[in-house]
Amino acid sequence: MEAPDEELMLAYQAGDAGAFETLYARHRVRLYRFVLRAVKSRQIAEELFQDIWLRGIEARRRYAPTARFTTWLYTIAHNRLVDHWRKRGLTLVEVEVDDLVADANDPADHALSRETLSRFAGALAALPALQREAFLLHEESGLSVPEIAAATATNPETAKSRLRYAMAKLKDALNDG
Amino acid sequence: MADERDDDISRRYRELGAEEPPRELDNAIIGAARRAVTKRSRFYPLAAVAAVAVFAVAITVHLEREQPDAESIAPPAPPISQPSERKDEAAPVQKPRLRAERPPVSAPEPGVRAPTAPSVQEAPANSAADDAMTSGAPAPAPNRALARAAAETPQQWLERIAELRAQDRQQDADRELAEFKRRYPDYQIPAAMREKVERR
Repeated sequence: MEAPDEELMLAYQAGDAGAFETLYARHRVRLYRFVLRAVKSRQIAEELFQDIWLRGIEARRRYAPTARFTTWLYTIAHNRLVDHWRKRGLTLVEVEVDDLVADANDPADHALSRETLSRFAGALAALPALQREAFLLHEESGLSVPEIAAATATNPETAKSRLRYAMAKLKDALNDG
Repeated sequence: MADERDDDISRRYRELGAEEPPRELDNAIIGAARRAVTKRSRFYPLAAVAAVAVFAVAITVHLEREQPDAESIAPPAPPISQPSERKDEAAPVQKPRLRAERPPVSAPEPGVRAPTAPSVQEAPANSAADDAMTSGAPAPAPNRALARAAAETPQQWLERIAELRAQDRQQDADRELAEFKRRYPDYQIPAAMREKVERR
């Protein structure tokens, strides 16, 4: 049976670098995609992704397993994204639709129309930043509404509202086809 | 939150692609994580020795401070007509000297702290700087520049260096960049940022 994230984080806190590697392997792809789709460019996403992990490393001694490790990690990610958005005046950012479609190398993706994918990606990009973040936290990171609320320092009602708005707009985009 | 899940949306979302972070980024992050916990074992004994030394000197100074009380109840100084005895009175001469040594008693703290403040895993004395790193609170270390750097994320630090370059403060930028590389040796500085922070 695999060790839970929280146990691994405590092991890393105690000096076990291998525990961190396991944690990193579990979360690297999801966190990367979460950041990539929350910001404008791959380059910025890579900078933020690196920053988030470094912040987590630096903050490890203050980690306490009072919540899921995932919530803790995405709280750091949210704070870093907020810094990023504030710096850019909370402007709406776009996902690079062409890149996303071009990167879809899975053979199954070839069967899907570029138009549908573009429309969906466009709708995702057009979401207000906080709605998009709520959706990504839910869809990419598997966070529940209460966990999204905790990670984004808001109340569950607001988190749920953001998520529902996001889902409704994405559903509309799919139905428009 | 099963009520919030929509299988159609989830499927479409997955179809957008499965991007992964570049391998060099993985290596940089894992390297930083390893170094964070291994540096402790390398420096912790030194910090412990420094702490013991500081404690020992503090005890000495404390005992020296206690001595004036003993002197105050000692017999009065001999008359001026006994110069030879006055020469042998070591305590009144030693005391100011020991007091003059008081700054070195506290000196080891910044001395230990300064080079290690950027990392959170080292001597316990660094915990305040650690907190500053994520909370943004000012660190108590005397080196303001270092404390400021400790409160910044790597990206923010690089942006500040870029601003120094833009202001033509080349030496400041060089110094900050050297400190940045010392603190984050594995950090992958993006090409666009590298152009802004490195001297041309």
